[in-house]
Amino acid sequence: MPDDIEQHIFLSEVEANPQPGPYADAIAAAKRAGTEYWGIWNILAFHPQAAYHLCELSHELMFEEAPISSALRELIAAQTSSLNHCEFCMNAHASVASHLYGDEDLVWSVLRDLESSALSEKDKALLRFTGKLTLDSGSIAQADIDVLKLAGWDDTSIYYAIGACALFNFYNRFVSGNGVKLVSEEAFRNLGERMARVGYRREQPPKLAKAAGQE
Amino acid sequence: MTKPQYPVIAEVGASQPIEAANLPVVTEQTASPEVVRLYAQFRKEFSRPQVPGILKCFATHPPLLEHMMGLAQSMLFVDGALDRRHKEMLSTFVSAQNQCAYCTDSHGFSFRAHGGSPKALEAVVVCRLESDAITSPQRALLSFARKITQNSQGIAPADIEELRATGWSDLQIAETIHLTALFACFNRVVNAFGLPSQELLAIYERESEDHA
Repeated sequence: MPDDIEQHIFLSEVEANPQPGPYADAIAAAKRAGTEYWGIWNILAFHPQAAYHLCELSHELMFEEAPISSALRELIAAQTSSLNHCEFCMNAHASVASHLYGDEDLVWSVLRDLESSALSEKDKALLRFTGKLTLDSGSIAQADIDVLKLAGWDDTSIYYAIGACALFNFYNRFVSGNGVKLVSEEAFRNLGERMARVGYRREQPPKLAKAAGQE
Repeated sequence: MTKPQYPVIAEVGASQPIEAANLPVVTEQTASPEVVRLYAQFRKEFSRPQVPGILKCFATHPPLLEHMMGLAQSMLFVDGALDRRHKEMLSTFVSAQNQCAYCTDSHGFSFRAHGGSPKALEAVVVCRLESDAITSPQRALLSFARKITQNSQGIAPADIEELRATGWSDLQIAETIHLTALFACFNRVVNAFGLPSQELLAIYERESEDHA
């Protein structure tokens, strides 16, 4: 590999050996076109089968119809990333949430200070809970769930909030631990617009999609 | 892939209902046909009569159950660049760091079942990394997992260099990051539901004494 090629992640051996699948294809296409691409593709190309499950899971949990809006789920993703100081995920999902709410100021005001933001009291209760789940999950107790019920949330909504928050506690460490680099503001905006529109799913080669989930 | 035998878990009564302290989980009785199918798939692949509580939490959203099982099978329950014993050592350590009693117990049990010594397990659970039951490469790997758990934004190329210097390959480091991140997720789901420990370790140690 020539010295002047910019590294996208810390692990050069992983970056140099993308495994066959949709992410290796996406990287190859971006390189051919000479366009900017995400280091997250490099870490997804590390293990295509795990990446397949991860993306299906993310799509179902974050994008598909649910009792809580995808805007609020994306706001939880951005909040979790902010609390974990994962700038890449925070920028990306603040952008998705901004597109879904159609209100960038609201999203960033929540990330700066939940309490003084214009978010509804009911939604604030949910984000207080996911904040605690991120920072101190060992102390979550029945009383924390009771507060959510009082605020008007049902079990199914709470399940989605837990899922979104837990998933981004994964992504934040996956991204920061691998040293995924930030991209330009414009690239984040385009990514956010795309994810708000089509979600997390990528085209899978039929063979991989069929093999996934089986040993 | 060879499956370890789990005679101890098989003896944990299948009739014993699983309850989480904070939120209802999906029991065999309340499961949808899709969840019934996934529970059956689990029983078949793991030769275990009882579906563990963590899957009953995931089952509140069937796609979550399906893909969490898929993720765990592709990253955890299989030898990769890291062997099963090191994967279970990491899983136990990260779960203890995240104060998840349920996962610390079940993966501590698996660590022992894959040949981890009682002394190494104790050191991992109480985070006594200077213990002589932990080798120096293991110490480096666990310290790295702790930093990802507590301060992942602080991970820098120097941390990677340190691991390489103790003999770990890039693929092993990549799997360590993946697993540590996965448990940041699993542990939070379990803690949110308030799933109690299954006390598998206590049963395991009792059985080992009986056979000694």
